[in-house]
Amino acid sequence: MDKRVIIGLVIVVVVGVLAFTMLRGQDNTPPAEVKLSQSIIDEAIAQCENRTTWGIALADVRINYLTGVGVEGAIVLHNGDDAERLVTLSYEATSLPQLDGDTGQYYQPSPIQASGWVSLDTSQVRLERMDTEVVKIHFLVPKGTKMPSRWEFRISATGAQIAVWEDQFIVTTGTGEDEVVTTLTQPLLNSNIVAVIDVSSELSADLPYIKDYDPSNRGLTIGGLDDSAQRLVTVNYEYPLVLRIAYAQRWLIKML
Amino acid sequence: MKKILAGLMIAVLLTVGLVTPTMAATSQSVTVTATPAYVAIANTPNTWTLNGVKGDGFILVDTIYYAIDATGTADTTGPGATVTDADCRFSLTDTSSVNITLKVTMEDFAGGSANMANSETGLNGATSYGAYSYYSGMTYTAKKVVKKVANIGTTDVMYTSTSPGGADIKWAVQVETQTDAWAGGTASTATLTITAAKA
Repeated sequence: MDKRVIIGLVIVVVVGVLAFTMLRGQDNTPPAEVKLSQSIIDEAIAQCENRTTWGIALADVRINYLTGVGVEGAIVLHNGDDAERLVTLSYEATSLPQLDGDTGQYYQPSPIQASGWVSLDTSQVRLERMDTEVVKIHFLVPKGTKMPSRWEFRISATGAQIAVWEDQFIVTTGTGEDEVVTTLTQPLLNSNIVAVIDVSSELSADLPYIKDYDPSNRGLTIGGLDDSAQRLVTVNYEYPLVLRIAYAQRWLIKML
Repeated sequence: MKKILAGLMIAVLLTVGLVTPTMAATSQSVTVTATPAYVAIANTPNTWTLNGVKGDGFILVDTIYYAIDATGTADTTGPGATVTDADCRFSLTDTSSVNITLKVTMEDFAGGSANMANSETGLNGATSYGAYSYYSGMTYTAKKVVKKVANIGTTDVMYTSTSPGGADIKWAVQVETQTDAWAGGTASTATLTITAAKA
């Protein structure tokens, strides 16, 4: 065989293998997230201006989807109430086919694994009056996963109005004791002792502080008390009102 | 030399041809859009004590308590054939820019000694309560079973508005307490949630 032909074939093979390896490597790199356009988010934020209720904008998100591609969506939260609100965000599966009122088409329930395909930048937002916040939501189905042709999941945004309550207790410490357990009238916000605004005692020898909280029985442990004494203790704390208003943002996925 | 060049060109063309269509399909076909629409409701009041509208706030076992309006008859008196405003404690104002659905959910009573689990059937039992939701103007027998938030679906929709901002309604729930006695007298609480979504 002609020497030049052999050299040519060798170069062809080497260059071909190198080029294929490089380009295949690029293909394996996860593509950048496909993002919801900022102009749509801005339009949603504009919808919230001067609204005097707690609500959400971006009522639904629609995706034409291929597995393996990341998508970034968002939900806009707005609190027009007089009171502060603690908003808890979470993934919510649908268990039955859901009708899309805009198209008249049904979307199948969320696959069991779908909760692992959705992540939120934050799961809790505290909104002051007239606050508007945008929370980003990320969605990625592993490449090659078998999916229904149309399916749906939801992002739930539950807003609890925050109120302040004052409890007063007459408590007694025994010999060598410096703490007592009291029962709050209302559940402590987030079951977290940071929701206690202040605790005070009528005894100057006391230096009361909150030691612990047990949400199963609303038990609040107050430490820093003088031993062998009886006194009136006052606790001011934040609690969530029991009736909550929630919104479900629909995510409608159409597979390509 | 011609043969070498021809080989090189074929290699490049084949490789680019193999890979490019895959990348194009991935990045160009996936689209994400959203409806900027605002969904919002206001509700008042945001509390309810069982037997606390006309009653003393203390409850008995195996008894139905209704979230009545202040103009209602008694906490233990339910609606007639058609639910009226006086039967409903809660007033809901819809300020949404789209049609919405409304669903009511309620969790277990916890944190005290009157703890009860939601049976999610509307019926009470030992250690469990049953609950329903309804709104003014509807036929009372069409009331919806109140379930926990984790278990609701399309069939649990209590109300669907027919025009944007058109869901201004009065609504209520009823709770039938458990059949067995509680161990103590400390109040328990349960979270009651009304959820709005674009219809």
